[in-house]
Amino acid sequence: MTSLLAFADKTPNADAVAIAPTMGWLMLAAAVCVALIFILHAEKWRRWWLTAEDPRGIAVFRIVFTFFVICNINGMWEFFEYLYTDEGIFTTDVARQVFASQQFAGFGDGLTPDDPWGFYDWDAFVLFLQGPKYSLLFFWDSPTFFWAHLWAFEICAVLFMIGFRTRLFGVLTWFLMNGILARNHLAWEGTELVYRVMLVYLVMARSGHAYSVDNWLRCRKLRRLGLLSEPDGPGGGAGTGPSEEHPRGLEPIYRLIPSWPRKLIMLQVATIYITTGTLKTGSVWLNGDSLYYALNLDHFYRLPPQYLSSLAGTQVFRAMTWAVKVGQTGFSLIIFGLVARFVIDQRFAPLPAARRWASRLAFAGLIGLTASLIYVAYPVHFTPPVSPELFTGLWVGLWAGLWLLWRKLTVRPFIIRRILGRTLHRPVVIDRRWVCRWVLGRRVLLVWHLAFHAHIFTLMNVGQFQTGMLACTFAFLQGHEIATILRDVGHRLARVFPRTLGRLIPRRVVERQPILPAADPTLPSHHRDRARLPQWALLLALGGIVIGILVQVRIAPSWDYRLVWVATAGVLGLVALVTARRARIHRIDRAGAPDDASTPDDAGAPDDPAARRRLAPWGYGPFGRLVIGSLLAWQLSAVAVWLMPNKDCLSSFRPTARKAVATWLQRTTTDQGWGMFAPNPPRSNVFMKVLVTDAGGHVWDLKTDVYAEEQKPIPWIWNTRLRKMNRRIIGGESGPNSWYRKWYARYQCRQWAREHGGQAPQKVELVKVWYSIPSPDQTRKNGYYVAEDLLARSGHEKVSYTARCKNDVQGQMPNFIRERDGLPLLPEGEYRPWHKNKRDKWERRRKRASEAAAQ
Amino acid sequence: MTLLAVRLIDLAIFGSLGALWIGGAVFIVVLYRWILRFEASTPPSGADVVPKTPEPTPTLAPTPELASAVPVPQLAAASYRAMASHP
Repeated sequence: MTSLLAFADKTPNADAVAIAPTMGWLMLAAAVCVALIFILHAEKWRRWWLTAEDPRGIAVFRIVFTFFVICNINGMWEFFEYLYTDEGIFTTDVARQVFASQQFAGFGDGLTPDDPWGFYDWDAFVLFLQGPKYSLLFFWDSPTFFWAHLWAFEICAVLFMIGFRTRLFGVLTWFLMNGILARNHLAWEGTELVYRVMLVYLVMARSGHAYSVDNWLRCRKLRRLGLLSEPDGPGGGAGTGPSEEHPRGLEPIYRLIPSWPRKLIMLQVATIYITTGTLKTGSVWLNGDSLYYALNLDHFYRLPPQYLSSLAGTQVFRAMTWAVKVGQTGFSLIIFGLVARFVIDQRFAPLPAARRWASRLAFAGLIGLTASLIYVAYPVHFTPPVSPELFTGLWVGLWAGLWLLWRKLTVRPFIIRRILGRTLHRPVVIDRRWVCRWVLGRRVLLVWHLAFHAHIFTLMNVGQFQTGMLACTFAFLQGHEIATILRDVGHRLARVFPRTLGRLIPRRVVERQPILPAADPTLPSHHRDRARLPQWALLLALGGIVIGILVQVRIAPSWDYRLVWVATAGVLGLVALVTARRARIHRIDRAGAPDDASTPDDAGAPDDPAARRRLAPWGYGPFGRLVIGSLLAWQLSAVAVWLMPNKDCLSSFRPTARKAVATWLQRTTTDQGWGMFAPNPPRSNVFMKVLVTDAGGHVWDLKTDVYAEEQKPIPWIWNTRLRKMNRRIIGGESGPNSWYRKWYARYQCRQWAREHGGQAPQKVELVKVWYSIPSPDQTRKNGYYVAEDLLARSGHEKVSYTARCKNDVQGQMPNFIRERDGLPLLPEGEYRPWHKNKRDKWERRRKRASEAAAQ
Repeated sequence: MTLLAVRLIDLAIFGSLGALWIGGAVFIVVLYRWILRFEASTPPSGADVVPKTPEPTPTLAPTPELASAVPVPQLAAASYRAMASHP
């Protein structure tokens, strides 16, 4: 359905705009159905998100991912001063104005005596605190300060990676990394989004509970006190409860941690794929030519691909393109497979009949509403050559078929006894579990994920995007799986290198002994209680959210409609408080008996020790579950709203809906967009040429892009952000980026002066250079081409911007840089700063606010 | 003629892609072998495979040292198996 929505024209589509309100109501009703399904299955929801797990999965993710976080920032090494200091493209005041003007509206630039540097008043400081661009580099960004900031980041990130004071250095790494990135967006790629979003989820996890200096120090201390459960002692490393011999019990080596951050990372990877997959709706993708064009972009390939393209462009590449398209769209099924396996394994008690039917009704409603969305949107978008009635019917039929298939797999699975005429040694039972393991399983979809990124990494150079995404693979593995993999790999390495690695690797690994267990889930120190929000409270919360939306749409009050949501949250909090107290009283009444909702049965369960062993304990107590559970529901909803495609048929409500969640997502650095090569990849190679006319009238080509031989090393191994920045400045990227040109040209004016004894050039011209990539069929027919020859034969050039260095704002090198470099200072008045009159604007703004308050 | 005109560097990509495909195929074989062995060694989770409370190890002499020797491996396996149903 999202794909269908994404098939929209770029020009305003009046018919699509007209149906937007209808689409909005249908989507709201569909969202309510989804929420109802989750509420009716609340026990599954909360056990999935809020229980505790083995920490080793997220610990390995921490190590690998943080290593690439460091690599990603260091990948911009050659441009650090250009991007992030006052000697670069944006001086401090300009950076504040172009990237965070609202946040710094009350901050003086210090350019004139009546506009001193600093916050004008307390309100201005409060405005800054509201965010979302928190960066020290907006205040101090001399090269010295920047390098100190950078080294602080490097040190914090390394300490986070090795797990020393993990939570503290995780937060500092996140803050310092975003401090660098927020200072300048010019070099941003999808890579930055991956690292920002995943890092904040990782910081939320207690990833230092395994494979960390923290845990090593903790175990050493506990061992000294005789409080650690040793691998060859009581508990086997998994801990024991208090006993006569150990009155305080023994602590496990690997404590259990809340599992939701790892699951959020998995869901985020699935979200990236399904978003980018469904947005890839252009004709180039549908024709299967995207890989051909992407591979033939001169800014990306590691080795010249033209000869291979001429041979494989019309068959192999097309098959690979479709494999990417289908794989990206279908990857998110991995989450369904994981959740379905979880539900099967946990053996949830059947829902009471009324709730079962309510759930079915909500699901049927969801299908009906999505069918309505398709039917309504059908006339205004790309239409396959079938009638809307037939297409909608097929959609409903598809879901009916899937439901029947799932039922068949549940009740009477397929049993295969013979394949290709041969009787199998053991029949294969194709049931739900088999489908979840194979068709929807990690072993298939993660292998596709690895293959996809390995191909991009091998053939193209797009920096640390692939490594970041590949690191996320570890988030899909459970702790004991990671431990087993490490043991088996270590064991094999020790056999291959017995004299070196065989001596370094722990004996347990070399001898392939059983892995150390995580904490015993039955330990009394874990959270096990019966507190839970009643179903009616959850329905009340849903009602409050819907009422808030209705108030905004129907009444549009002068007060913030989100106050309805806040009030709803307050009521929910009160209910939770009462529920937790009751649960506590229940526990006290039953003192001595095992206290736990020990099976995930809504109707309550016997206190079965076996079930206690089967089920993971809670990650938090009742209050923690309420807070984290609410935030998770909010985060998932916010990301879903944020990623609604920018189409005319959603135009009546998308901006308002995004505004409602923007504050949260931007401040948590989880705002995101995944339209890579969507709807179509570029079909021409675009470069930026910089021509400088010096004081003597001589024109110099700075050779800033791969049209120049020195900028095109082959094979291309180390990534450079230069190419991305050039495309963004000169118009090779989507989005309103042309404003960068004047600042870049002015920077070149200053830089030229800096490198030529303070002598400014006359002018700087930015020239767009481009040539079209021949189609796959042309290349196949005419043979491969040599990029340099084709550019010389069919390239175009156009001057996109000209800066007159003497007169343009900031076209002159300011005196504070001249002083640093020991160059002659400019006479008074020759430097032209950017006067923004912020003080006057701020005073007027304050006056308007006080007048409004008086009325 | 087309092939004769090709530069050596234009052929390098075949080596890269070929190495990737061969390496990838080997990786998949190794991975699937490991998965199948791992599954065979780990019973599926669920109530029917919940490990029983470990029985005490028979001891010949009830010395204090031996009395504390709880049968570790069973408890250890039970512990991680309990988590195994959490994807």
